[in-house]
Amino acid sequence: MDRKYIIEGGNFSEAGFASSDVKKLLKKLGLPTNIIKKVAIAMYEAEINVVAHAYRGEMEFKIVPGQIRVTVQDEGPGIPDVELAFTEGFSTASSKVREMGFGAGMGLPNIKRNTDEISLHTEVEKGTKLSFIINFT
Amino acid sequence: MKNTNIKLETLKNILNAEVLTENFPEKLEICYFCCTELMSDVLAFTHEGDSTVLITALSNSQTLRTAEMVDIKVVVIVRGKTIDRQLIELAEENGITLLRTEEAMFEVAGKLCSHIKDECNKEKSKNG
Repeated sequence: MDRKYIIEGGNFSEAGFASSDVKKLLKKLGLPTNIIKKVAIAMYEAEINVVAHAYRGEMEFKIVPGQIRVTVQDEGPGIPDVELAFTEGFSTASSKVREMGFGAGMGLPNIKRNTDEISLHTEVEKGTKLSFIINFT
Repeated sequence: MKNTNIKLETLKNILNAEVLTENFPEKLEICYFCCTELMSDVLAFTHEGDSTVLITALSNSQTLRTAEMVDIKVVVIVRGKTIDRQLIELAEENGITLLRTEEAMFEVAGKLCSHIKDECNKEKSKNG
């Protein structure tokens, strides 16, 4: 089973739609609540990252036996220092993003904390591809 | 922060809050209180969403989306902020009870702390 969502950079009123849709789907499928919460948090943080930093993006969600796989690819400024971006408290968010309650430098660390595997490929001034896997039994 | 249990009806009365959604499970037990404007902190540090109340001055859709992701069922907006009809609808769609109080965050936290202290002292004196 898979789903694909388009994410519009800067559109905070729609941010969270994809994560909400997937959360409802996982509830319907009867996955354990702790797994649903991990997926929801990781997807939502990734969605917010695209809205906050990129021009546009796509989020692909897939369930395979024992795993939930998510890929988020965006067109945007990329991340100049990946190690720093994974440091709690580090943020390059604009004041508009901060007004929305984000930009505290917890996005990527939160994603890492809630996933079993994570990979990030980024090119400055082109974009970023973030993939993560959450295992379940 | 883990505290003593408070029923939602009691919380509403302590804060002189207005209920904005149709759903209002008055007997719902609240055990945790999260006072913040940082939604990433809510995502990072909420462990028992079902029994947590989010208290915030942030009255936009991301407050409710954040609550939804971590299963928070009660959100209190402080300082009597104007709340769009769309926000109330989003809360109702996701089974979230939305309350609004005229009090500021500091007053809300202070009132809740002193209620909890009073309840703990009563419990202590009951147990001798």
